[in-house]
Amino acid sequence: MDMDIRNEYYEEMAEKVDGIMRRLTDGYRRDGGCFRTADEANPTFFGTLLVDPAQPQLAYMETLPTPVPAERRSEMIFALNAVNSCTLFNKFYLKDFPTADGRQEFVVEENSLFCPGGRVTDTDVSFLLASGMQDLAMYSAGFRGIAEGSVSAADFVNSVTRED
Amino acid sequence: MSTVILEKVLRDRGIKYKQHHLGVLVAEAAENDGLPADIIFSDMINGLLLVSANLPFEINPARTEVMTAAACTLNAASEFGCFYISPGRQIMEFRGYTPCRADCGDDVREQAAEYLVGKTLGALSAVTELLRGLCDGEYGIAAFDRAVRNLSRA
Repeated sequence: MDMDIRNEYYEEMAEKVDGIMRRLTDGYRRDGGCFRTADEANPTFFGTLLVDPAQPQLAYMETLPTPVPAERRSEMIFALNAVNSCTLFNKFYLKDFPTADGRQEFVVEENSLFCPGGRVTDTDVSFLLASGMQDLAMYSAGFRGIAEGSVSAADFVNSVTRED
Repeated sequence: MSTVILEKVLRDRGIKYKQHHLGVLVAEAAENDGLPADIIFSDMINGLLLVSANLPFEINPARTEVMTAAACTLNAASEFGCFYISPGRQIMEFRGYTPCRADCGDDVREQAAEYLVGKTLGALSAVTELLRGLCDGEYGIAAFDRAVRNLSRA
């Protein structure tokens, strides 16, 4: 794609998303094509709505604020796998990020939405935000507890995979 | 409506498939040279196109932990789809989806179907043999992680 057209395309999509975000949400700040939650009290927590014009899709990523200690990494991966097996749209994984203490791993939630032709609607943005936040609301306390050592991964997995 | 478009995309790629139920197309590896796994494409009533696959090997229980770690690595490295081991099953599964709004036109649906098929084949072709090697103990998780890092984020 020609760079000028690409930039114009990118800006158009970002503007469109910006307008939708302003109507649907509050407490975020725009950074180019990204939209981050303005949670200054907890700077490792962020939500991003990214517009990529080369592959026209919206992406939602959220990083849980609690780092995962190396000694609980296996338990966390066990828990992430269980959640991935029972969610439809989102996926959870570990990713390392630079911190004041070096690099540490955090749980990341990600989902994305294909927007052919760069067409973005209120429904698209609402879908991403709603499905992302819904899953995060369901699982974040458990993930945090596993990271902190107050929740056993086995108990967590039993609770999320239990068939009522 | 999307099923017809999906069928066209599969035919254009030379992929043989069967329609198992209304809106469910199955491309079997045995019927298609080079297809890394049986792949199920579903046209959901709410407008979503879904894809799912069971990787074609069983996981030795002794390798479950390392395979779960591998799934986590893949999910972090790829912008498409999700790998996981279903609790109670010793099989790695993959799923992807392309939300395609119910009100979008056929041109958009065709783009979405091409994206879904292309990304799925790319993802599964790139990692199925790597995962099998890890599962068989040919190499360890560190070597697997290095191999995945070397794959482009296609």
